[in-house]
Amino acid sequence: MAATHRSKRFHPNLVTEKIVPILLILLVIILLAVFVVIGLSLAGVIPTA
Amino acid sequence: MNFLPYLSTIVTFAFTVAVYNRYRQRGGIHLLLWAFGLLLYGLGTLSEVILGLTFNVFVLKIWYLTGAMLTAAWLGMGTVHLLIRKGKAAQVITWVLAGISILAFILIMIAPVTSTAYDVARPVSEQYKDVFSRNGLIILLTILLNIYGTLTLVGGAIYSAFLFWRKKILVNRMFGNILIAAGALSPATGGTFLRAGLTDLLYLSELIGAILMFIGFLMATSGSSEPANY
Repeated sequence: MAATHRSKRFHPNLVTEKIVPILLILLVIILLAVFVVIGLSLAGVIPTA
Repeated sequence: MNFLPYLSTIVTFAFTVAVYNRYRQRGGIHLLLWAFGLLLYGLGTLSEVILGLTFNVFVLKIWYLTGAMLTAAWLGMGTVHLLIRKGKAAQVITWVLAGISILAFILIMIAPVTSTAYDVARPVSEQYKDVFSRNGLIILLTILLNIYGTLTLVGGAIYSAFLFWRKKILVNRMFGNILIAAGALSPATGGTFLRAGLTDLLYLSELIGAILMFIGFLMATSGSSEPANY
């Protein structure tokens, strides 16, 4: 995983190959959930901020 | 939970200084805009500190203006400048945001005060609606600014992390961007909880957000000798 200073490239391992994509997808899901709640606010389903 | 804004303010202003110093060393309008966005973040949490000690309508309005309306949008504006380097689009959006920010400031300052009954022992997020009334335009601007800010800041960090992961380069920036995205989502979800009536979680989400973004920024800038980006 460690990047060499010269190339800035890193060698994939379990964390970078498997965990990072899952983290990114999780972040996208949370981001979408925030927008859903904002949408529900706009629709008047839940009180507006 | 009233001590949390103190910690958030210290972390956020330290973060602001770090980003501004980075701007002074390397330039880059995105760093300047991030520093400005963080200054707004810090003003929001500092307002919470003051409102936990004494009540002042002006401070309450500054809290709403910075914390609820402008912080996410200006932080996101920095990310837009980082990701869109060609053409004038980023500059145009910045001027539009500046105009909207001035409009928001005026609207908040002239918003009528409906009550001065304020309990300093309770979070400001529980009480602000009872103290000054927000018209439809203020509410609309709040929602639009937060959608824009969250989408650009969080979306931009996720996109950057994905690019680093796909190219297998700059592992520090990949994880740094993941932390920045998670940190930026924290107050966004706190605001979402606020809409759902869970007002207590806002202070905690602000502190977690500031810490995660600061660590992410330090990680992304560590050991870097490249001129671009962070």
